[in-house]
Parts: sequence; C-alpha cells; structure tokens
Amino acid sequence: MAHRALKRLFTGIGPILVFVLLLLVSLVLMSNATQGSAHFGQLYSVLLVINALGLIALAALIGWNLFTLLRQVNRGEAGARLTIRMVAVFVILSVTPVLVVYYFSLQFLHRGIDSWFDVRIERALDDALELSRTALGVRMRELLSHTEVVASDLVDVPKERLAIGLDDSRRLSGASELTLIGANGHIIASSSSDPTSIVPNRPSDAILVQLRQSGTYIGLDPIGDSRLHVRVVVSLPENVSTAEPRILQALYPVAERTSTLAETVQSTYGKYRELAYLRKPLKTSFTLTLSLVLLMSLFAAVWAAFFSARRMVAPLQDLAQGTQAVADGDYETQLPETGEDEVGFLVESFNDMTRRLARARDETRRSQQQVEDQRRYLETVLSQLSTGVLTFDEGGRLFTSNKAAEQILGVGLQAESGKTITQMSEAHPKLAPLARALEAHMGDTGPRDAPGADWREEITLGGPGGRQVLMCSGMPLAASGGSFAGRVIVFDDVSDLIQAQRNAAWSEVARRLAHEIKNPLTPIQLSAERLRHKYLGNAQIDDVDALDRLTRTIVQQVEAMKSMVNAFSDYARAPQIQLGDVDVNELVTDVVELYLAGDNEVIIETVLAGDVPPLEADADRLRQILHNLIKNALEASPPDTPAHIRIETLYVKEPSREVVEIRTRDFGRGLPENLAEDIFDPQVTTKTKGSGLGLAIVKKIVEEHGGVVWAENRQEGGACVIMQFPVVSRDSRAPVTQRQAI
Amino acid sequence: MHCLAIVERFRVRAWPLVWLAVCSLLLAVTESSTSAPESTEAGFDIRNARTELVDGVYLLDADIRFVFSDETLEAIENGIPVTIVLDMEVLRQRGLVWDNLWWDKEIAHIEAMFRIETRPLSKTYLVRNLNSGETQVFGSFDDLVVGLGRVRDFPLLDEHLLSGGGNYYLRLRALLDIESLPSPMRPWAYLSSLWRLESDWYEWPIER
Repeated sequence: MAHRALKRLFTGIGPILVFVLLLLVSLVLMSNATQGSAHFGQLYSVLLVINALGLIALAALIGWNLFTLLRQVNRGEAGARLTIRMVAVFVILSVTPVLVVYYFSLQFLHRGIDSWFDVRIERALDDALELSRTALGVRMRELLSHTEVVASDLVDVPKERLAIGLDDSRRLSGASELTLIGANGHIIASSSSDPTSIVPNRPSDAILVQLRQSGTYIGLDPIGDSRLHVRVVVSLPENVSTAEPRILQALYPVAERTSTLAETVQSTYGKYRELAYLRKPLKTSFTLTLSLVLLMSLFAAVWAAFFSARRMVAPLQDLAQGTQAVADGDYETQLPETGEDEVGFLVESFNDMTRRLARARDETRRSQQQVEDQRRYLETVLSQLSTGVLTFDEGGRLFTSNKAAEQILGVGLQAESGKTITQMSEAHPKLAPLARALEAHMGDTGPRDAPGADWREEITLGGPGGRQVLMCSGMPLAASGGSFAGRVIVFDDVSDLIQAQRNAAWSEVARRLAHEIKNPLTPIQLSAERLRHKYLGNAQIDDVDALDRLTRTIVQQVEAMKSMVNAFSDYARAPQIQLGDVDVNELVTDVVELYLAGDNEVIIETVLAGDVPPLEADADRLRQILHNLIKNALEASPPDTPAHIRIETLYVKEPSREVVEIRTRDFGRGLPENLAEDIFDPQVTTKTKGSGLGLAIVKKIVEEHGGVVWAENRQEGGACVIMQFPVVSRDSRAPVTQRQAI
Repeated sequence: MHCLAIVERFRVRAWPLVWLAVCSLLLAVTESSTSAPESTEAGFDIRNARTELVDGVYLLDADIRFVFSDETLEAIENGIPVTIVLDMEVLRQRGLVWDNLWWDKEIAHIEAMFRIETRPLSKTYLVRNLNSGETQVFGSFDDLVVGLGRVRDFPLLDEHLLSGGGNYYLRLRALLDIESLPSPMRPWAYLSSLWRLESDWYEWPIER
C-alpha cells in the first residue's frame, strides 16, 4: 500500500506538477531576494537551501526513472528501448534551446552588471564627496576656531555662572548644544537649543582619547534624528581657580539643505562603493540563481520527457505485451482504451481481433469437442461390433482398428498403428493372406484403386488356432474435398458360420441317409436270410455254394450298410455330453492298452506331459476320438511294416490361453496337400473303405468341447492331428455340469 | 534593556548545519572558492567578562579582542555594513548528577547586535547598537575595535529573573552575523572560514 502510494507520488503527474510549481515559486522569491528585495532578503538563505534540496529531489527522481528504464532495457521489456529513444529525443530537443538561452543570458547578465560601473561616475562620486568634505571642512574649521574662542571665554567664568555663560555663548555661536564636561566625565554645565533635551550628548571614549592626543576634536556626526551635526570638542585652557581640566563640546547643526545634500552624496557614494564591491558576488549570485532556474527547467524537462515518453509508449507496450499474450495463446487479452487517436484505433482493433480470435477458438473447441464426441461414439460402436474394422490412411498405414479386429486376427493392432499391412504381415505371418488381398486392392505405398471402388472378398487365414475364413470388404474414404483420404477394411470371421452350415448340411444328409436307407435294409436282410433258409437246403449241389455265398454277401453288405447308416445316424444325432473331470494321460493310456493287448504288429508310443491338468470333458466321447484317430493312423500306416503311432499330450500355458494339446502322429505317407483343409469334412477320406466320417466326428466332438483340431503333414513324414482343449479353471467353471452339444 | 530579544537559541547556530548540506551543490555550480589562506590573527576572543548587580539590574563588563580578517576589513572599507553579535545566555546549572544527562536550563538568551558602518564623508566609522539605536563614532578602525571590545555597564537582565534557587552562570560569545550581510555575499561567507569569525564561549558564574 505504502509502496503503491510512493510510486504514485513519484510517477503521478499531479504531485510532480505541484512540486515543480512550488520550486518555481521558490525560485521566483529567490530571484527577488538576489535582486535585493527587502521582503525576501532575509529568506535568501532559506530559499537557496529549499531550492537546492528541491533540485536534489528532482535529480533523484530523474535518476530513479533512468535506473528503472535501464533495468527495463536490460530485462528486454517491451517498449523500454522505444522509451529510451523517445526520452533521448525529448531531452535533446528541450535541453539544447534552454542551454543556448542560458549561455546568452549569462553573457547579458555579466555585461549588464558590468555596465552599472563606470570610471567617470566613480570619479564624479569621488569628486562630489571631496567637494562636500571641502565645503564642510571650511565650515568645520571656522566652528573649531569659534569654539576655541568660546572655550577661552568660559575659562574665567565662575562656576555658578557657567550655565548662563554657556547659554549666552550657545546663542551667540549658533550651536545647538554646548556642554562643559569635567575630568572624570561628569557634566558640569550644558545648554541646549532643544528644551526637551534633558540629557546632553556625551562625547564617546574614542573622541576623548583623540582629544587627549591632539587637543581638539572635530567631527561630522549624525545626532538625534540623523541630521548632521558638527561636533567640536576642545579642552579648556588651564585655570588657577579650577584645578580640574575641563572640556567643551559644541554641537553645530549643519544647515538642513547642506545636511541633506551631504547625506545624499555620502549614501550614494557608499551605495556605489558597496555595489562595486559586490560586483563579483552579485554576478556569482545571479549566475547561481540563473543556474538553479536552468537546472530546474532542465530537470523538469527531463522528467517531463520521461513522463511523456512513458505515456506515449504505454499503449504500444500494452500492445506488444498483448500480442505476446495472443502468441502464447491467451485470447482473452483486452487492452485499456487510450483515446481517439491512431494508437487508440490500433488498440481498439487489437481488442476486436482478440475478441474474434477468442470466439473462433471457442468455436473450434466446440467443433473439436463435437468431433471428439462423435469419434468416441463411433469408437464405442465399433468396439461393440463383432465385425473387425481397420482403417488405413492415404499412405496405406494402419490408422485405427477396433477390438473385434484384434480378436479376429489375434494380433495386438494398437502396437501396429502406423505400419503398412506388409510390415504387419512380416511381424505376423498369419496375416499374409490378408496382406496379399489388401495389397491386391490398395498396394503397399498408396492408392491403387480408383476412389469409389469397393471390393469384397473371402480370405482364409491359417494359423495354429486353425483355419479362419474372413469375409472382407474394403472401400475408400473420401476427405471433405472429395479427395482420397485412405481406406476402411471391414471383415467378419465366418469360419464358424461356414462350419455350422456344413455341419447342418451333413447332419441333414446323415439323417436322410439313415432314414431312407436304414428302413429298406432290414427287409433286405430278412429277405436274404429267408432265401438262404428256404432255398439253401433244397438247392442243388451246384447252386448251394453260389446261394450260400450270395446270401452271405447280401447279409454282410447289409450289415456293413447298417453300420454305415448307424455311423451317419450317430453323426446326425446330437447326444448329450456328460462332462466330468478327465485325466487325459490316463485316458490315452487306457485306450492305447486296448490296441497293444492282442496285436504285436502295432507300436504305439506315448509321450505324456506330467503337468497336464484334468480336463472337463465327456470321457466316453474323448475315448471315441482317440479310437477314431488311432484307427485312422493304423489305416494310414504302410501295410508292409508294423504300424507306428505316437501320441503326445502337452500342457500349453500362454497369457491369453491355457490348453491341453493331444497330438496323434502316424508315420505314413501323410495327407495330400489339397485335402489338408477339408480332411475333417464328412465323406472326405484318403482311404478306400470306411464311411469317411471318422475325422468329421472327431472334429464335431472336439468342437463340442470348445476345442480346435487341425491336421498337418510333418516334415519328417507322416501326418499329425492336433487337438487343443481349453482348460477351464475351477473358479470360472460354469455352474452347469451338462452342456448341450451344438 | 529588558526588551532585548530572547530568541530561540538555535536560530543562529542552526544555520551552519543547514549550510553544510548544500555546500557540495554550491561548490559544484559556482566558481572556485575565493578563500585565501586564513589569517592566523583573525578571530574574536573574549579576554574577560563579569557581571555586577547595580540597582537590581545585572550589568555586563567585558573585554573582547576583535581581529578582523582582511576580507571583512575590505568589505567594511567598501561600505558593507557588518554586524557583530554578542550572544549571551543565562543558564541555571543543574545538579552534578544530571550534568551528563541534561542540558543546563536556559533562563535567558540575549543577543546584542552592533552594526559597523563607514562614514565616507567624515572618514569615520560608526557603530550602531541595533537593539537601542545608539550610535558611536570612531575616527579610525583601530579605535572602533578598541571601543567595540570594551563593553561597560551593558544592562543584561533583571535580578528577579534569577529569583529561583540554584546556581546561575552566564556565557558569552562574540560572532560576526553572516545573515546580516547582503544576500549575494552570504553563500560565500558561509563557505569561507575568513568570514566565520566567532569566539569561544566564555562562561562565568553570576554572583548574587
């Protein structure tokens, strides 16, 4: 608070103007005092001190201003350099003429003072004084003689008559006062023309001393009302009757006219001498006053220069700071109005500009917010979609992706953002078919299709998780101007759908087969058996063998057909699976035991992992799977060597999944390349006999357990069927223990 | 005689202090000081002073040696009136215990001012007592110095002013009054030691 008040005192124009005005008044008074004014002469010293202190204060004020300005320049504050330039210009403009005036004023002043003095005037005054002295000297000598005569006359006058004698002598001599004084200074007698005068004028000690030295004293003294008197003091001649020495003082008035003239001459002479003596101090004094005036003018001008420069630069400074603030992003800056001039117009324009900028920024923010909201909305929608969505920019680099895309492709796409599909496929070989398909449509580095060209294609991805069929479609994205801005790729995993369609179709086939074929089989079989019983005993010898062989063949083939129809029936049926904890290793060992029991031509090698957790599965159906696979492997084994099968169990634990893997491997000729994909479909077989449903049932049961199965050829020969069953932890296990097969 | 002004004691003595503050500025803006090497003789000295109670009034007798510097003499010869002040203070002495803690109490402060003028017509010097208006004429400056230095029966103060108890003493000094000089001379007189003519205080007890 105090600091602000002090600052206002130093920077406000009001206090400074009052201060300068007071200083000016003080200087005027001092100037009067210098010129000998009776009123202010006494105050000269005070005024000098006041003015000096005032100037020191002004100088300090300017020093402070200069210091502040230089500090601002050093700090690089906006407008400081302009202020210093303007101050310099103002100071030069104001100080130069003042200095010129000062120089010439000093010259005039000194010459003016010198012109007061003239040798001729001095001579004339000397002469006038000398003339007065001479004129009065003659008269004084006469009066001395006359007084001496009076004194000699009084010598013999008796003491008691002295008063009368003095009175007579005074009247005769024309003296205004005659006084007879004793040796010890006491007045013996006195006579005065002024009846009111009681105490006679006494000669001073100095006069008495001179009297003793020279015997007489004559002087011209102002007495009473300053009228000049001739004072004559003489010693009375020694007298026998009066032992004490006596002196006589006579005061003769100088004629009024003469007195006035003499006083005039004397005072004028005195004044002239005084003035001549004071010539140098006067010059210095006037110079001092003029210098003080000059300094005050200079300081006031310099201060005014600081003040006006600051005032002029202030709006520009505000503008500079405002511009800086706008550059830094603060669009709320509003500068104070400065007036109607050009700077004011500039400030107004600036304020208008910042207002518009702020409005534009707010609108941009709003639209950004809207865009952001829309983007978030779209993102939410996309994330909820089961359809995978990928967008690529105009350079073919991945721009966005949704969760479904990650799940379908099994690749963390967030990390792949900014990469082309080719680069992604290098990191993830699984994506190679997708990359090939996309490249065919959009290329690696830029747009290949014409904008507007949509495409749709089914893409099959291979991988450890099995075959995936994606229904993929792409379309170009158009920017606001209609230009090409990238592509959006949408895909669905239709593997399950296709599989379901296939399964449904095969189930229908199986059901029809079972229904249409099984029904006539029993009559055929019965008819054949009746034929056999009826005609075998009655047939001729030649026909017995043929009949026996034919009917047996019919019955056997009908049996075979029945079993095949039953197999189809089993496939078509959807029996309920009975879930329970199954020890896979134990199950494998049990099944293998059956095959090893009676036939030494079979080698079944088991490699069982010790850490395989129990599976929640239907043990019977798993057993059926193993039977089917072992049977298939045995059938695939070369006929001339003992069959060799290897069954492995593995426990695969990855961050994203936890599965039990069962690998069944034969060492036969392997799968034909063209069948590797479709080997699990019904009626797809490499064998000459069998229903072709073995692997189809395997696949069906595996999928009923939520697992995957695929077959691959081994490099060292033979085929391998790999099944993976998900391990359901006990904590997250569903409360139901029975699950309906799909 | 009692109408002698009793003025604030610091009025005269404060000025040198004020002037010290502006010395630097004055020296900076004026020509070089005109002061010559100081005359060793110049100065005032109170040789002897005493008071005597006559008819209820204390009268002062003092012998003062006035030695004027060449500058002051030159000024006087050129018709510049020079005022000599006899500065007198009557003080009551406080107890010894208090000597170091308090100033002695001032009872009266008297300034007797004498102006020395020249009379070119009669080639004499005139001393005017500015308090009473009395004048004295001297034929020569030496006579003036002697006459001015011989103070006799100068009425000082009434006896009743010292009616209180305690010890009183009087102190006296003589000085040249620079403020009485023409204004153009004052700054230089303040700055020049040749114009600062001042005696030491002369103290003596007042016998009652």
